[in-house]
Amino acid sequence: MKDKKLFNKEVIDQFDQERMKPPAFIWENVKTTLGNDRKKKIFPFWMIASILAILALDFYIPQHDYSKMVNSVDRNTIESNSKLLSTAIETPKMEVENNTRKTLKENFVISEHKFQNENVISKIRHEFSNTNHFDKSNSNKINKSTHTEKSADLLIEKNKIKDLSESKIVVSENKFQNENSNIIDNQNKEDINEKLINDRLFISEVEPLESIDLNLLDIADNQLNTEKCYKFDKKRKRSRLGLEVYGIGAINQQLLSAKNVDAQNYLNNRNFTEKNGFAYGGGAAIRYYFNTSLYLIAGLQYQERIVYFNYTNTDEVKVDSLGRIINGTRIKKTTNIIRQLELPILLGYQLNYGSFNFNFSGGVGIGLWNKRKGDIINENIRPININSGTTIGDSLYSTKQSSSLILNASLEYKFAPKYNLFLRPSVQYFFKDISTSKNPISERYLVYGLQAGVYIKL
Amino acid sequence: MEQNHRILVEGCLKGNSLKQKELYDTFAPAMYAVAMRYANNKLDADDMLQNAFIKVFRYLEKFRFECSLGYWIKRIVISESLKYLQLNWNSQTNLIEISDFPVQKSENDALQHLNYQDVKQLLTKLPKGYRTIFQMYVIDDMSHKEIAEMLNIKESTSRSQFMQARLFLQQLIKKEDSKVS
Repeated sequence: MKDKKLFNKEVIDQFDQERMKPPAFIWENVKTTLGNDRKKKIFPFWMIASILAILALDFYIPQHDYSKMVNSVDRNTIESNSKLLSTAIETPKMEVENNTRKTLKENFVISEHKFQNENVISKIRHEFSNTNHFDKSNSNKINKSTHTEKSADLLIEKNKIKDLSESKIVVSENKFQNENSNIIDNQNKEDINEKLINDRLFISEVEPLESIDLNLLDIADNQLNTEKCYKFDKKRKRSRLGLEVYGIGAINQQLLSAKNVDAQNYLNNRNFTEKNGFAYGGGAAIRYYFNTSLYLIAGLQYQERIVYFNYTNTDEVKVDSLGRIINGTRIKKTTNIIRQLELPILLGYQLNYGSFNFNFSGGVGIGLWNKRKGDIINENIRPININSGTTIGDSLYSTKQSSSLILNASLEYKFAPKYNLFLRPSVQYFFKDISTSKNPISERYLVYGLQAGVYIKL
Repeated sequence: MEQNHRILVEGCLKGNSLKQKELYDTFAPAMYAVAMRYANNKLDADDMLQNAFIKVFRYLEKFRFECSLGYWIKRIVISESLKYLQLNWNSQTNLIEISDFPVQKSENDALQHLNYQDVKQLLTKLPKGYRTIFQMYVIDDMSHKEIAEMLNIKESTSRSQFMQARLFLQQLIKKEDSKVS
């Protein structure tokens, strides 16, 4: 401890009691930074909220899945249903409709695939195909709107039968779907229905009508009014959400411009000392499909943009720590980096061509956080450090958040059922000046290059 | 005093900007003097003080009153100053070998007779590395262990650097004396 007492105690005390008034701008900068800290704390909440909103959309927007329709009569009641079918055919004024939940005595909905009553089905199919047997007088109307080989739902509709002997049975094979769940255009279907009805196609031969068992009708009534009848098949639900993860390689073009005429010389020197570099980064985003083509992308993207600073002064004069004056050439080379985290929100359109998709998207990138590191020259053509948070002077050269416009076009290849690889040429224009209003030079950026990544259906 | 500081800290933690300003006004002048000693120029000292106070407010909730508030803030100022100096150190300022300055070991009497202004003047002439360790040890009363931790060096390195700084200082005094005579 002896060596601690190198100096007189009074000297050390004087060091302790030394006070110097700091410049006023230091407090201003501290205050501004503390204010920004508070704003940043808010960010995760609305970020999380927006992601939750997108997820909520997925549950609240109804799924346009037409593959599975109304009926889900239990297998155990096949036998009784087969009886019901024959009863329904025989029952006067009994109407069997699709997609309605009127009383059973008026409506029957019979599912072919659940029913599995080969005799009944084959018979009705036979009637469909044998249009030569259609006869107006029998008034057995068959409305066959659309049908495919593996039909999901067969509806037999007995409509407006006025007399048992006339047996006006309307058999409607409505909303047939194939196994691939192709969406049927309802409008087209209705048009065809109308046309066929107008043509008055009737079945001439129907099973003889005998009797009606009201107990069986009650059983069927109960079944039709259960939730099972209108249950959607989730196996066929098409996912609307996907996750894309990608990397970025691009050219970074710095676009400097003078805010006033006096800054022209400064602008020339800035352009002379700073050269464009490249940009790289990556991101992850959620893709939400409104339908098969239109989608929304939101996520997070991190990017580092490079600008090369190269300063040379052949008449540099420096005073070293021993007070000696040194003349020489000063060369300062720095790789300036702007690190930025942003929230891209894009609207996209997708075109499908077999295993390939062509996507076009555009939107905005909202700056969430940025940090700059490196050197530039000031208005006196002297190099200064512009590291974020350590800016010298009155925050003239500090960096602000910037937002951008984004345009993408991508080619996607479906290499697995749930996975697409994509290559995406991208242009991003940072339209907002990143420098403060006091800075006589405005600083914007244009980044163009390629993104490559993978899209995963969730 | 401590009670006042408690009120000040609690106010700052609640986000009271007036209390934050009061805390800054209370400690900034002394801390600016500390930063000036380490920086040796105004511009660097400005940055050091700014960074240090940003850190003070960010980490104020971790202050547990186990030491005085002034001491805690001073440590942050020194820490930020070191960080700033390290970023800008080049190899020449860090590694001045003792062989470059052959000095004879002399008594510390010469240093004992120096007044405040002389010491201040001499310190500015020390290379950055020596000046830093010398100040931390002698003026800011830190141990070699603390210095080693803050600079991320070995304790023995801190000791040897201090010895070299002291010899360098004595050599400077000799030079000054010879000029006068």
